[in-house]
Amino acid sequence: MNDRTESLLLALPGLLLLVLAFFLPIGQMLVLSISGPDGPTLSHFARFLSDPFYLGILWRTVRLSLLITVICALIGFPLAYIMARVGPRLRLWLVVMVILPLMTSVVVRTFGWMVLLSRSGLIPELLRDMGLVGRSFALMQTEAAIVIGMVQVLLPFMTLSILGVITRIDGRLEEAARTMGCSFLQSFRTVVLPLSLPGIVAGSLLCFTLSTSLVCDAQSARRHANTSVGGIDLQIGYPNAGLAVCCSTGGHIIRWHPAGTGALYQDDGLQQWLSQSRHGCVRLP
Amino acid sequence: MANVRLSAIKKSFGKTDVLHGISLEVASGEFVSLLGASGCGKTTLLRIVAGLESVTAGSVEIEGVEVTRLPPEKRDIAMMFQSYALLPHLDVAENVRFPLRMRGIGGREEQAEKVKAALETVQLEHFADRRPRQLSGGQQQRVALARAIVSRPKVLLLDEPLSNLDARLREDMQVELIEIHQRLGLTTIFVTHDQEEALSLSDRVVLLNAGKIEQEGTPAEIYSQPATGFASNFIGSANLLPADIVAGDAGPMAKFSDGQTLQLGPDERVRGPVSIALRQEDLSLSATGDGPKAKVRTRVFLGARNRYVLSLAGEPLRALTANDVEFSNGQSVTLSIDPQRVRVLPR
Ligand SMILES: Nc1ncnc2c1ncn2[C@@H]1O[C@H](COP(=O)(O)OP(=O)(O)O)[C@@H](O)[C@H]1O
Ligand SMILES: [Mg+2]
Repeated sequence: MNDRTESLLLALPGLLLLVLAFFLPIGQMLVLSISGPDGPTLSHFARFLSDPFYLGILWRTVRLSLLITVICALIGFPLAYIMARVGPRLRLWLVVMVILPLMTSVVVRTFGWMVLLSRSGLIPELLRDMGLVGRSFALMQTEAAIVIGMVQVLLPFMTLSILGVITRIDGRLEEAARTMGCSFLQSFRTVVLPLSLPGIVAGSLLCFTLSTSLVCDAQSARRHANTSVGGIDLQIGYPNAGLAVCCSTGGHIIRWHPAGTGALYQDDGLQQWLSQSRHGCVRLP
Repeated sequence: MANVRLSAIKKSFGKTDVLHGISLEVASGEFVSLLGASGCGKTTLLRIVAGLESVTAGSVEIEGVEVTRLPPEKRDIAMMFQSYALLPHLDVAENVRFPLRMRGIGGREEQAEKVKAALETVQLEHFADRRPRQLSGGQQQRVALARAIVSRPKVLLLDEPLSNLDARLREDMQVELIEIHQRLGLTTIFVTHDQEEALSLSDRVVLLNAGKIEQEGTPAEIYSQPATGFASNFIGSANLLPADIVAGDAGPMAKFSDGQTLQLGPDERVRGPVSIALRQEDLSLSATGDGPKAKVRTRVFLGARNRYVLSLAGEPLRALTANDVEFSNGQSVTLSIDPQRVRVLPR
């Protein structure tokens, strides 16, 4: 048995699971999205793309996700660099601190942000006291709150992706750059940045895909924040399965975290829409 | 005029003292080797000159300007790393152009010309658009050398640049280094643990031992007049045998612990307990004759030569002979050596 067949055999169980649990259902959904009562049709897509309501959601999702990804990269890259270059002990502590937010429950995390961001919370109060913002200033239930909350959740993914790449960059390359006339920042730009690009790209893809699905959560879940606390996670069932799938293939697999990051955001149109969905069933307008 | 002046450099990493007060001057255009065993602080000293390492005490001057606290980019130096440290995301020409670009030397065309000239110097002009990982070790190393000389720095620092090469390439590169140094006349500090390399390349050799300068001098001085036991053992890997000096009929003699004696030169002045340094290549062996006797332990065939490991007064003793000299293990052989070539060092 040569190496190739051996590694194929080793990968087989994983591949099998992937096919059964992922490709099969996704394929089914794709088929569903182009099937109508009278055979194959693109009408679901046409309906999705011609309705400003859906397009609005799509655009906001993409816009917020891009913003979140960029902010994560801007914070994550220097953070990862510092983590890679400090001693092993300090690095361990930093890794723990970066990962810790992932280990807290989404409920606790959200209430934490509520304490900080709500109208009478720490940050708006502080900003008001310092006279930097007006009396009516609010952070909670704005897009800014979504972005802040999501950056916190997604930063570990970005940081750890970049950290993996930076630790493999030989520190002597930077030293060599310094002896060739680079200041610290120049060596950062001409050596570290180009060499960590693969990590930045991987982290950005990860952040972007995760945030497109999470922004959806955030947008859809506001309504139930007060009524239920806990991790109910259900797919919104559409009576019109074809359209639902069409939404999903547009990047939205809508999950529903009642007390998730969504508690940070309020959208009137969406709320109306969601108010009909108490029982996980939406009648589409 | 001194180009580099190090004054009483001390360096500690935490509680470990690595350099214990090193003072050294390198003249303009001089090729100086820092020679010493692994771990004696050569790299640390070089990094201090480059500005990559701070000093615990002491000062560094380059061309009369104190640079002790200046960062590396503000010192006009170039350093060639043992691992070459080529930038993997740039091609060969871009790597060589890097110091020119960063130091803002010349316009684009002038830079391209300098890069071409530097690559020609190391005979790599046809590899300009390759990436470093597409080159062999020897080629990468020549790129690193081209990159180090392209900006004509005030000081060229080389950290064991030849240690990763096989014997053949290494000899070629040594010749190349000598020629480049003669042509460009760059002040060069060359770090190596290989005594042959140090002796064959440099104007002056500085022998380091455990963070201190053991001896410095021209290669000939270092080779023929090692000042200490360490120096004579390190240079030419001489045998060191403990002995006492006694008076004999034809002048002083060395008396080993088993009572055998060895004739010394008539004007040998050192007295008392000493170490006798005998170079491997100065010893000749014969089956009969007068002189101290030693027992053959093993023979190592080296191709052009034989190395015999002998035992004299319980101490191991190595001797190099022609490859047709044959003795069997356990045989007793007579040592002879020119008394002038025996070095007597106080113990
Ligand atoms: N960054 C460092 N931290 C702690 N100890 C170091 C560091 N760099 C070098 N040393 C120690 O300093 C000594 C000299 O190292 P080095 O200058 O690299 O030796 P050489 O180049 O002569 O082999 C070694 O014992 C090494 O362990
Ligand atoms: Mg070294």
